[in-house]
Amino acid sequence: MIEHEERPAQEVHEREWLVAVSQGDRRAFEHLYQRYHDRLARFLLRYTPRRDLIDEIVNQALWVVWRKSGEFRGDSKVGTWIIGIAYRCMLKALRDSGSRQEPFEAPFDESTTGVADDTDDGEHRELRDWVRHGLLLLPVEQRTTMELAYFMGQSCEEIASIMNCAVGTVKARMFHARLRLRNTLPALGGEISHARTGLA
Amino acid sequence: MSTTLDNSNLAHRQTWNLIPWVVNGSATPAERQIAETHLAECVDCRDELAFQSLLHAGMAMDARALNDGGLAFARLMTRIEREDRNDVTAAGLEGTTTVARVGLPASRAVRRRHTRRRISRLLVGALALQSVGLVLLGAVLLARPSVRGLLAPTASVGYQTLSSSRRSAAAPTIRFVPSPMLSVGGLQTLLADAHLRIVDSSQGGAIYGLAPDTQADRTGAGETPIERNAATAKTIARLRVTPGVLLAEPIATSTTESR
Repeated sequence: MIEHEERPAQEVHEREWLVAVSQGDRRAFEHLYQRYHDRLARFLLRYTPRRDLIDEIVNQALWVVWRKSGEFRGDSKVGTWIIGIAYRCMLKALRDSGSRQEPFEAPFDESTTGVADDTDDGEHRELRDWVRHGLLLLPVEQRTTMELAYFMGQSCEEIASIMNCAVGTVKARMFHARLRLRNTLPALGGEISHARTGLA
Repeated sequence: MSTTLDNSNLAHRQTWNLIPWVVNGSATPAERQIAETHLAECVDCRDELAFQSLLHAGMAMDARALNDGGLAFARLMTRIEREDRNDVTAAGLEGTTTVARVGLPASRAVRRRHTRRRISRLLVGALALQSVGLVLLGAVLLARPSVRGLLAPTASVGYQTLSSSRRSAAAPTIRFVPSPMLSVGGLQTLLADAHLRIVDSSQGGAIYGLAPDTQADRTGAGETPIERNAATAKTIARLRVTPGVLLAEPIATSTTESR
């Protein structure tokens, strides 16, 4: 996750790169690509296990960044703008694939994805699995709100911009998602001990 | 007491709503301050903060391996370069100077095409506006009485073109034979002074039929036949004493003949 305090300096760099990209600077584009490819791919991996589709969506989103960099107005952070593009590309790709349910309900376990998780710690794995299964029970909009907030580190206003909705809508989605997770997580894995994770 | 309770509830609701943004680090310093103050005294909110922190940590635990970004980047650049080449070809076919040729990305070429398209739309719009303006101007001019009079078929000032039928000539009232010595200029002066015009002539042009020039002599308009005959006689008398006139005599008309 990106810490709040680090954002200004990172934002300055990203804006400089974006201006350079708008003037055809491929090196600056490579910097942006490297910064966002992994982040976007991991975000998309939470919606579909298909690595080929993920690569396609990420490349499509960054292709739009290359083409439209001159149209960035600076109303939001560069990251929010890019994530918004990727989110729309994802929705379109999922629509075009003809099956909305399959990618949105992508199973998280490694047996399906065929990729081993290198998180070996049993307790951490247990927590991660509870959270994943709890998220899958949420409506897509609520889940995406949670993903954008906790996985992508976006603020309430930034999520509204990405999902093209009102800030109040984001707050309502977050509120209902929290209530639902409160109710479903104990059923999935019992009460999670604060002491066990040491996060309380 | 009641006010204290209301303030406490407000702080509780605010903090409850702020917890996700405090957890993900996007809350403003002021929001953090509100939350932290309330969290110090509210067990429920502390419990919720712990639960949300747990969710946050659980979601961040994702160390699954991904495809190599370098290969994906190479594929994307191949696509961009291919599109740039296509843009160069397209620009060459259009016969325009290509932007891509000087090393700028295809987005510049695309933007330039968009600009050209916008200019074309503006020109078409201006043309349409001009047409509407002309139509409106025409309508305004047609509404003016002076212009309508000019265009009306009964206009007093008529125009005769070579292709149009000739204005109907008035019937000659005076037979007139000028002296061969009379010059064209003298004849014109003579006719103008007498308010006459040539409306007929014999073969060879020796004898002319004259009629009052109604355009020059508007006083004759609306006069009776008797008055017209008297005027003709007066004109003939004057012509006869004018040098260069060999003959001036009335031509009998149906009106005069009937008398």
